[in-house]
Amino acid sequence: MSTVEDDKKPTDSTIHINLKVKGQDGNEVFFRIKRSTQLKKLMNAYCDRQSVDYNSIAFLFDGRRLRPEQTPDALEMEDGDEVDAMLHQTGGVWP
Amino acid sequence: MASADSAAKESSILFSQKLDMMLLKDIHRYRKSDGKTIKWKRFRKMSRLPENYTIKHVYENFQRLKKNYKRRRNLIQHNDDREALILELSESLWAAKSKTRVPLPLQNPQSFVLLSKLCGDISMPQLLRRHWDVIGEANAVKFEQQLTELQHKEFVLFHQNCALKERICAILLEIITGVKSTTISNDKEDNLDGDDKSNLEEGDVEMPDPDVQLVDKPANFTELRIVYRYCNASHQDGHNIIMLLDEALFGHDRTLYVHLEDVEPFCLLQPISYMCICVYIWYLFKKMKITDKTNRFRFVDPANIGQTPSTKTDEKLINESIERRARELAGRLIGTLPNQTVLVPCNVGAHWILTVIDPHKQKIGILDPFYHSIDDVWKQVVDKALKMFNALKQPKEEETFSWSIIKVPKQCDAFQCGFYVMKYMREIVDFDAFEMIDSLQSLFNKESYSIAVINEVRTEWADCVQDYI
Repeated sequence: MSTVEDDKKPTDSTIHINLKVKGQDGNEVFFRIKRSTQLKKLMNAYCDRQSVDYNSIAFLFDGRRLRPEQTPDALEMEDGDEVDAMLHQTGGVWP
Repeated sequence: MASADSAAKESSILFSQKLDMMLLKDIHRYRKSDGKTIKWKRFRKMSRLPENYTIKHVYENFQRLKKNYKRRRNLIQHNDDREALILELSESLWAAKSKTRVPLPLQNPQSFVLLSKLCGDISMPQLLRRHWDVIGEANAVKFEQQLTELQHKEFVLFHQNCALKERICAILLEIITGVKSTTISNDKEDNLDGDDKSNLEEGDVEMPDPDVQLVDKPANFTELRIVYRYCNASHQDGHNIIMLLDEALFGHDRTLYVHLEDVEPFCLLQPISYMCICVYIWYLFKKMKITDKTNRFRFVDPANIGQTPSTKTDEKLINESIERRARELAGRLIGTLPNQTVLVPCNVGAHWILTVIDPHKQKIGILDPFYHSIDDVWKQVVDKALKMFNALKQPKEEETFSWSIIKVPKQCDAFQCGFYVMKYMREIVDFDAFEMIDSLQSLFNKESYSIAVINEVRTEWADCVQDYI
């Protein structure tokens, strides 16, 4: 729309990254976070939105399990990459 | 000994090429698994390959390996037993150890006998079955004839030539340890050329592992140990075990990623995850394929029908969740054949139970390792799913769902329900009754399972996972 925004874009895309979180049921949620932000924030946001317990979800990137302290930079994530959210709920006995 | 040394060198080169070929398969598998092309750079990093290693190298090595394979075949034809045997073994051990990866057919029945002696933990019939899959039915019959003839004769080579035996043992162990680390490193190859004895000690898989000693019962957990070690070693780089499942299993494509987080509790007999249950279902399904029972049972993916631990408790959300779970379940009930039994392992909130459904007879059996009662929410889900199933049926019948609680062996602690559910499934799959639900009770007359029985299940599980390392 405005030229100001167009000028901003190149710098913007180097700082920010768009990530897609795909649930087991195929449901997709899109996030835009800073490349240097810890993924914990994205995980929390996803769990909040889906109202699921944080501890019951495992986030996978290329099949690797993501740790909350990792950042998109460290993982060399690229714009539009997909993160899988898998249910990781264990069962022992009813509390 | 010169020829034996050169042969060993040859097989070590072959071994590294084997890794390349494996890699190539991995790439294909990776491409397939998501339908998207994986970026080579990232893959190279994940596989810890050198910077200058391009995809072209992999293909070149692949070609070389194919050529080598031809050469090996010629050697066998010219009866140069020793060299050919070592070469063949180094490759075929791979095939035996991991039937999912580059299973090259054995050309020589002699090496088959040798192989079965070396793989102490794999029985001869097991080997034969795997081999059968590889070489096809017609060849297998001929091969087995040769094999029986051979078994009547004394297999002198193995007993007489100690150096050869040692060499082969070293290769075997190297291969097993190589499986564990899956690195393409030069020192691994140097190791193979080095002293046999030290190699034997270093790679001995029977050595007790301090990490896995935590398992309280002494049993031979070779497979479980290998799986645990692999996961532990690869945990830092984020590597894991990838299992592509048949579409026929759950009615949709499913890829399992087995992580340390799944394997560790499994080794320690603690509450286990979806992944562990799915792996075992896959094991059972593969077993059923052999006995041709796949149309007697149908499995439901536990991931989508289980209770999702929610942070909210409002009624609307709970109802939505019941609705969603019922839909998923109904999706699997629809299309079942008459007399097909549906097995539904389900997590009803930090607890595993097994539900057995005969949708056509509208009978439901609940197998709960802890409580002998029915979870209220789960009952709603199943009822809803059955109603959806009935809605499709013509002509309409009266809806009378008959629920029965099967008195199954009870878990003796607060952790093992997942293992018990696995054992129940195994019992049911092995058992083949016409009126499944009515005769279920006769299967389970014990108070509880002994640890040995649970360990048997765990060993099978590990054996299944091991194939994918």
